[in-house]
Amino acid sequence: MKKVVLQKLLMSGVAAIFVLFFLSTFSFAKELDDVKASIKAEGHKWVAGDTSVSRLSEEHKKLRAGLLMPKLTGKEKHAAVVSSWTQPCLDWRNSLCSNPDGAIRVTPMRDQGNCGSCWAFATTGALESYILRKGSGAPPCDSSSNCNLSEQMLVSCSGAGSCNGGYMTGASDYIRSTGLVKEGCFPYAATNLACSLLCNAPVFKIGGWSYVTTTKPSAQAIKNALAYGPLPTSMTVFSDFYYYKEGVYKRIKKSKYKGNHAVLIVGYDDANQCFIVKNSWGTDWGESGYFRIAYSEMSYFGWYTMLYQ
Amino acid sequence: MSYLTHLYHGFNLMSAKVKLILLTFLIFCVVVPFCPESASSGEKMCPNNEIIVNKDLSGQKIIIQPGAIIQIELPFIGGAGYNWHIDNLNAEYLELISEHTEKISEEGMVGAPVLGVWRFKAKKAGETEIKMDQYRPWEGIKKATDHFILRVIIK
Repeated sequence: MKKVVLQKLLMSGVAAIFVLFFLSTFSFAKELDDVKASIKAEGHKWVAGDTSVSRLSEEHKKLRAGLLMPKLTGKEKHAAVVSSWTQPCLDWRNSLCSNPDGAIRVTPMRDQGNCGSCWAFATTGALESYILRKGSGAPPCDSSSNCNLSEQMLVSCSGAGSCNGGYMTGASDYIRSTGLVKEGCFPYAATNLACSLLCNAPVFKIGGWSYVTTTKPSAQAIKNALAYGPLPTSMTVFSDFYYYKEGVYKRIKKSKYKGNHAVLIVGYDDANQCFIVKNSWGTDWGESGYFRIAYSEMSYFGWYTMLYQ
Repeated sequence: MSYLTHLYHGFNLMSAKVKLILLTFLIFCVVVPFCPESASSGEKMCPNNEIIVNKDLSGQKIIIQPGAIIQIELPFIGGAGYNWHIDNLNAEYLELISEHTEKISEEGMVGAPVLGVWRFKAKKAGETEIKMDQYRPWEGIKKATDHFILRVIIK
């Protein structure tokens, strides 16, 4: 018995020494330089942005977490979408190429600020596009540049989340059952305001929503659904994504987990084998706030993609 | 209950020397996590080899020994593009030995905060500080939304 106890103590000590040794030998390099070198080495076709301040930090992080996603009940509606759009490119911004409406169906870029409200921006963006597509939007949604609905209403009133994150399913249910007012009625403040600040105004709703993809997204399913309008979806953010400036993003292998995120897919481009996506980080990031991501990146992009109908 | 009985019998079978080692180890485990505050200066006196520091300790001073580890844990919303950046670290006194991000939110949420964990090793005696700022890399420190500073005395 005595021997066993002593052996266990000895083994614990050895294990502790091994862990400390491992941690102390871990070496780190500057992240942006690393990102640029990795893009080159891995033959990716995107450009990482250079900022002097980003050079100040050491950015190698240890991955410990994975993608956070909604639990499925089995009762969710799934859309079996057949697309009549056969072109190799579709862009609801009507910029890179056209779309079934031949008009702009995406509203201007937004900035969520330092608030975990991406879920509200992705779903509100999808609602704005839905209203524009229907063509029956009362002001301000009678034009894409003016159509601006209240993300703050989702953050403060829906119960689907807050600045500490939220659920796109809850937000979409709320948009269907209650709807959202225009931005001016409850302006975005990037903080958890009381719902009592909401004014009394007409609301904009969707008829319903369904999943296009869940845990095993396919690029083809998303492309088919895109013929019906922009699609809110989720993705994992890795450290190299912060430095994206332009091009078709592919995650570099040693980039590290930084959180999960909701965005709005607004098109695709077969020539470059990528989706066109609206982010909510303002116009200074990426391609005026948008990014393009390769079809090959579906292991962390395109999960739980939704279609508003 | 039977597990406790086994433990009790096992303990009785040990020699006095082993019991002493085990008790010392247990006392060490209980005492180590605490950093008593000095009554005179308000400094955190940390006789242990590792201290975990969170945002509440920003602006404070800690005293550690050479070779000790400081683990700083700060939340941030990575999904909004924000991250903590080390903007002042004197490599003469402190070495960053690891850095990683942990998930802290419940399953199913998107956009939730994550926890950044940085581990530093005290290299030699002296006074220094760790300064960190939270900002989006493409916006820079001028648009920092939060700050963290820890004064470190190594002796």
